[in-house]
This record gives sequence, C-alpha cells and structure tokens, in this order.
Amino acid sequence: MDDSDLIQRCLTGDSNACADLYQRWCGCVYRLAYGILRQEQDAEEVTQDVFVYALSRLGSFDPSKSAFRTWLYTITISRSRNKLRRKWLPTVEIGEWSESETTNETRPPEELSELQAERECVWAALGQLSPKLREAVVLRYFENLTYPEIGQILGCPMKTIQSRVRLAHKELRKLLE
Amino acid sequence: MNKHLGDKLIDYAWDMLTPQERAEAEGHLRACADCRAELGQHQALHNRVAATIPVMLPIVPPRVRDGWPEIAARLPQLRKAAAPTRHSSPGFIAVGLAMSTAAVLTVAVMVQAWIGLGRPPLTVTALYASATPVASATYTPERPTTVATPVGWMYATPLEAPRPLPIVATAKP
Repeated sequence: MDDSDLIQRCLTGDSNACADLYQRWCGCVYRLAYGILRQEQDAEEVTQDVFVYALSRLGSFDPSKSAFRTWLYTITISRSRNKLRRKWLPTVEIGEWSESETTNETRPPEELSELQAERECVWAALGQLSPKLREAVVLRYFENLTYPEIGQILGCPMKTIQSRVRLAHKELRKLLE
Repeated sequence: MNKHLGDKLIDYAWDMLTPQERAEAEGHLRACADCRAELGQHQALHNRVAATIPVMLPIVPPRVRDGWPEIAARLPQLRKAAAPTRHSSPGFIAVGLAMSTAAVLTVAVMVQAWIGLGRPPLTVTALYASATPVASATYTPERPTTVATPVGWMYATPLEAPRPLPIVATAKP
C-alpha cells in the first residue's frame, strides 16, 4: 500500500493506518533529526513531535504540491531548528552511533578502526558547521535527495542550496586539513 | 584556454551542475591539468563526507520504533485543539456567515418592530387590533405599547383585511 492510500485511510480516522504510516517513516524522520541535532534524546522528541503535528494536520497536506516524504522532512527540519534554538547542544556526541553498521563490515580490525576514526573525524567536522550548512549536506547524503528536493524541504531556491553546499565544502576542507 | 573553473569544481564534485554546465566543465577539464588536480581534492573530500553521513546516522532505537502508542495518546487532544482550523473550510465559513446574517436580520427586524419602523403603522395596528380586545382604553394606534407586537412580525401578512381602528375606544377621562 502506498503513502497516498495510507493517508486517505488516516483521514477517515483509521488508527491502524496512522500506525502504519508512522512505522514506515519514523526511521527516516529520526535519522534526519539526529543528523541535524546530533543527540539521541532530542532526535526522539523531535520525531514524536513531527508525527503528532503531521498526523493531526494531515488534511492540510497537498499531494499536488509535494511528495509526502518532502512534507514530512520539511516538518522535521522545522522542528529540529526549533529544538536547536531552544537549547544549547553539545557539538559532537560520538560513540552512540550504529555499532551494527561497522561490525558487519568484513575488514581487518585495524582497517575498521582506521575507518571508524576517519568517520568520527568527518562527523565531528560536520558538527562544527552552522545548522543551515549542515542541513544542506545531511539532506544530500542522508537519503540521496536531489537538490530540487532539498530546496523544497528547506524552502530555498536552488542557488541558495548551491551556495550553502559550497560554503559547507570549504569549511569542511579547512576543518579536515 | 578558458579561465579556471574555481567554485564550479565544487559544484561538479557535489553533482550540482546541469547537464549543459557539466558538459562545459568536462570540456575544460580535459584541457586543464590544474583544474583536474583541484577537482581531485574536492572529490576526495566529497567522497569522505558522502561515505560518512549514512553510516554515522544511527539505527532507529526501539523507543522510536515502538513509540506509536505514545504518539497515538497525544493525538486526540491535538485534533480537538486543531478543530477550529478544520472548520475554517469554505463550507463552514458560508454556513457561519449565513447564520450570523440571519441573526443580525432577526434582531434588526425585532428592533424595527419595537420602534414601529419599516412597516406601515396601519398594518401593525391592525394586527395588534385583531389580537387585542378593542375595548382597551390605553391603546394608542401610533405606537404599540406591549412586547407582544414584535412577535406578530413573524406573521407579517395579515390573515384578514385590516379593520378600522376602534377610535371610539380611545376616549380618555
């Protein structure tokens, strides 16, 4: 069953459909929120807020304007920004990231350890970017979104996204040199 | 040779160029070793970032994966709170406008009736006269003195032809 069918059922008050929609998208929303906030608890709270907001205003979603995924990510970005504004967050929180992702790799332990150190290094550099630059970069590689999609989610023209990615790239270059 | 590509190389590395821009950039890159070398550095950094983000984002914790009941518990009160927004659809606006217009008109008609405007006094008095014993000594034809009259406006069309006013009953001491 695709999103539009589920949404139609949700609009008729079908709580099972709402639960299915949540199960389908909660992971993506959580990971995006984590990419922006870099803190598990905040990402969990934002995920919950995003779904409470989205499901209670599902009637305002217009499929002719955007995909459901775009609409949901727009809400996620907005809620994550609010969260960032409301509280100071530690810049980097390494160590809680997916163990399964790395332990499944079939490489020698030394190589794995180097790879992990490299990722931590890049991840730490990403954490030092301003939220707006980080959003553009995370959105690009969190789900391979296209730039027009990123523009739609962030509410910016393509040129602005391009400029943010360039700035992010230059800052990362300085940080990782 | 054309001038160097500069920041366009970052766009190239991050795959942000249109097909036409990309073709132009590739034309330049074939001939320019400096830009090729710089592009290599940009692409290396880009690849590090692209390889890091998907892996560093955590797997979804069970608290989130099993978090639906908590969200479901929060939904009814929000639906209630959001109710005015739902009702702001054109249909609800039209019904609301119609109801308020009807209320205003009703009040206006009652006020007009109360002050004796908007209808020929003769009709008012005729109705009044038909519902009231003609022997009333305090009756004044110009202005009804009881609250009962405005209600009579709802039946504004007289059921019978107006009768002559009982002038003979208005004699005062």
